Amino acid sequence: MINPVLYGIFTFLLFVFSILTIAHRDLMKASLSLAVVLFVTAFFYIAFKFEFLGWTQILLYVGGIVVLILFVIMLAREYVGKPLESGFRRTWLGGLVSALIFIFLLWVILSTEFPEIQNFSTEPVKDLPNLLLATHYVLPFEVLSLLLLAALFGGIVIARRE
Amino acid sequence: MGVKAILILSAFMFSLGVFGILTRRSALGILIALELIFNAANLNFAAFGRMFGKVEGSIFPLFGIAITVCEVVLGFAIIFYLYRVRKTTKADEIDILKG
Repeated sequence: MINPVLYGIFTFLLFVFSILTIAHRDLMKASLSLAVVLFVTAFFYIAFKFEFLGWTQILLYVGGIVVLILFVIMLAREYVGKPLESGFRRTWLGGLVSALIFIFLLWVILSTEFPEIQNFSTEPVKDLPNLLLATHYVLPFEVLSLLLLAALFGGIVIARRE
Repeated sequence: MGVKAILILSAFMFSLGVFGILTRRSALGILIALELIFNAANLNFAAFGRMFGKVEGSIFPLFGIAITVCEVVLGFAIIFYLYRVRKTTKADEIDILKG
């Protein structure tokens, strides 16, 4: 599916920067590590031949959401008056729960036989707009635009100054 | 490289996100950890779509990304409002709804 050397590099980056995202006390650095994680995930998508998804990930996640997070952190720093830091509470309990979840997922994945990887019958990039706009995916697609509109209104109403 | 390696990778990312949600003190930190969980779920969708050779595997992550955008916008609007009203960054100090 992917060149093993590239896969190794991507996996290493993903491991390191996901740990940094969770473990860094400074929220600014944590969100920048999140940007790297999302970027590397986009490379995985492109390696899967889902190019449209990969570039959407870079445009929306890295270009939109991470910039939004950085804006909120900087504005909140203005209100609080010092760099935003986030400590941890009940670390051992959270560590236990997440380790149990990871072990369970690992057991399920390793004990399942997955079929061989099949080739695409068509080009994914050419097929995607057709699928989204001309089959039964068109209804969720349109409902999604309503959801985005509602979120836009909700965000403005909540965050505006009285 | 098979699908299993990708699945293990995203399982690791998912459990790290759960750890972040359970242990972070700041509401912003919790939202950042939530992004990691969404990302792991989307990676799983794409990996299964690639495994079966179906383009549909990239449609669900697209919907997932759009819904994440809504969630992030509303979450940050609420956090921003709380900063203005309560001047706090900690999720366990926000108890306005307590009677």
